[in-house]
Amino acid sequence: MQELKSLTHWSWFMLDDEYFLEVKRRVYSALDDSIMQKGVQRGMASFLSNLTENLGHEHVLQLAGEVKEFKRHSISNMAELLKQAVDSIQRNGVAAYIAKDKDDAKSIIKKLTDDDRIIVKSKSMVAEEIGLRNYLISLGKEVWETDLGEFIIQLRGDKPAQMVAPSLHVPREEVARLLSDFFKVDFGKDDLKGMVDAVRNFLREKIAKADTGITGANAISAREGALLTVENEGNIRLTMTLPKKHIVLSSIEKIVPTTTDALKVCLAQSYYAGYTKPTYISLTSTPSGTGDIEKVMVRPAQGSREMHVVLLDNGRSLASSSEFSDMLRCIKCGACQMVCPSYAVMGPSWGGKVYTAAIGLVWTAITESIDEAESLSYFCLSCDACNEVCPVGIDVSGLIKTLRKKGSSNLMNAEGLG
Amino acid sequence: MAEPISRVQLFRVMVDNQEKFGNPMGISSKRMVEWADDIPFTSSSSSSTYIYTGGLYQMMPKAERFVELMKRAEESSGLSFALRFLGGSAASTLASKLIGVDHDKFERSKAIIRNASRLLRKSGIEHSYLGRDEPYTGILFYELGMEEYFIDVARKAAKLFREKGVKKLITIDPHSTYALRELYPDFLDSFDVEVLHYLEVAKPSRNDTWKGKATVHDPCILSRRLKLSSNYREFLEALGIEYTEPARSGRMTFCCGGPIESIAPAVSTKISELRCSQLAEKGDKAVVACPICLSNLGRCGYSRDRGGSNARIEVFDALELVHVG
Ligand code: SF4
Repeated sequence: MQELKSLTHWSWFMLDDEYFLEVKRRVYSALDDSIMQKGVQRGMASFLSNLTENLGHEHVLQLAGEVKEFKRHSISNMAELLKQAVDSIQRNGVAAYIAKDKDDAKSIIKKLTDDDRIIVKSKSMVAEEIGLRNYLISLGKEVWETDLGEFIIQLRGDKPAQMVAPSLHVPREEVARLLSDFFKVDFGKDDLKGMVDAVRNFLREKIAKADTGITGANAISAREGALLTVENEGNIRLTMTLPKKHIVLSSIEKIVPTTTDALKVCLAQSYYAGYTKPTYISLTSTPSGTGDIEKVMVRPAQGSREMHVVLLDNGRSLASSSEFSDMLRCIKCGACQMVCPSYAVMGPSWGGKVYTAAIGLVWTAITESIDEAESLSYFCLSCDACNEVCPVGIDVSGLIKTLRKKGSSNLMNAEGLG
Repeated sequence: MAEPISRVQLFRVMVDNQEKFGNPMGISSKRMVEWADDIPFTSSSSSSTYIYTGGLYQMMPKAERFVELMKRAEESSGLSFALRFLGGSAASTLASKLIGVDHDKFERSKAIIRNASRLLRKSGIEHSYLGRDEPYTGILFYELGMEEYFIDVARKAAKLFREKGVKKLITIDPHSTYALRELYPDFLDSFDVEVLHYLEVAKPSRNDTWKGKATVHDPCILSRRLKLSSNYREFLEALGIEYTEPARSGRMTFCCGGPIESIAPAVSTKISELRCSQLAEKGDKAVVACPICLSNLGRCGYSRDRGGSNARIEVFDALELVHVG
């Protein structure tokens, strides 16, 4: 009997903790990456002063409170809102597709882009989630990221470090090296303007030639089928209007009842991402057209000719009735990541393939792998800095603790402890 | 790189210690109560108010040694190999042998608790002490996700409080306070002991013997879960201590790294160093109000001469700044 017991010990020990140890090895090796830490910590410091300024405004806090309420309501009616949104989108003359998982989403987009040669993309965590860029490249297409941070990620063959600032972990010295290599020009590390200009010229040409532009959406209104995005660079606007075809890849928890609600999500996302005001918020609901000649509608006018909306589920419906349902309120502002001490030293190594740090661990559990997320959860300090800044009042550290509880109780049972 | 240590080893050592010693670090009850040696607590006291140490100040000097050993083990594959492949009890016995306790730091912890008790008395709060019977809250098990085990420990502690007729506990650290005040009522069927933190009840008087400015570090649990940041500052003001605020303070405070020191000592140290350097930007002394912060920030402030961070900062516990003579 005793022998049998120790045998089960061993199997658990080998199986379970090998996984944990693999994660631990990975985050440990990041501790020596001072270049990454420099980038992340510089970013966190400037984020703090911007966020503090924003939180000093009563209207910002009030807005967050409103978003929290209608997001809560939206998540508990997610299936209903999804139906309504799909109807509204189709009524607008736009094709809508529900993708149940990553493969489903990829095959839908493959069909939609079969004849395309050049595709431009704006930054989208959902696109990262399904691995869209590399998938399209593997189909032989030329694909370019039009967000500067994401362009840097593409050149590095890296994953995004953070939800809003994907190249947060890449300090200017490293960006200069990367772009000098790519453009065969020598950029000094402080020649930020020169670097941004070079990228701008390069990408403008690509966007002009592209067959399709793929964007995400920060929020979608169920009633009007409007898709809203928020940005500072202006690349999303170009990506959605210049190419003939516009594909929106987003996810089902982004749907809120009205267009006004959707607008509020965009504003809140921008404030809590540490910007005092967003440069652009774009709303699109139908392909472009004009009725200027005798009131007859002709498509396209200046913008895209056709539009498609792909709405990804990938675990979200399941999550909505699980102990992780609060996570679906998340508007992906990344504030919780930018105040996290663990993230300050481990950076993106502390995360799954796509989502990192704080709420990113919970996103990893839902969209990727619960085992990975469980192991990652042990590096959370339970210090609650994340909860303090979350605009929609998610108990982020509590959700991470739920992950840890799963991991520990498996282990305790297997070990015959407790 | 050498091999990191798994969760299994760690959990075993802690549960083992809890079973044998009544606390996760394996401190004997004799050592636990040493601080009260020269304080006349009448065990027959009719008072139902007790000072509750929770054992954290007493455990931290040993926890520090334990974490150092783990760090060494993770850096040199030989020791890690030995620890990983030994059975649970064997490993914890070995660990206990290797560890020992830093004498000076243990004395410092004792003085801190003594100060707390004297301060309470000076503030007119008569209290008893449960001595060797004082149970551990189990908070560490809760934080490590071992919830069922935590509930077990909590039940036993609550039973003891009931048996001893405890009506009111005055706590001296944020972690125990949080456990008793927020978690016990949540997880246990009935728990109606009143729990007060010393910052809520003590009335310190000016301390003119303490010189200099201090950067105030808010312990996470104290500021965000217990919401005692302003009590903390009022306390320092009453002492007449001039304090400065770091960039991350109050409810936006930055963790000392301590909570994950046992599961990932290298990560924890890196965070401590970062916090130390933030505090050091404002001056060369810092004040904390938590044994875990004191241990982690204190160690990293000191470790500068051993190739640690460059933060030249001396760390004090708020209870070390009171004048109880
Ligand atoms: S959990 Fe909250 S703070 Fe974190 S990204 Fe989501 S909305 Fe922002």
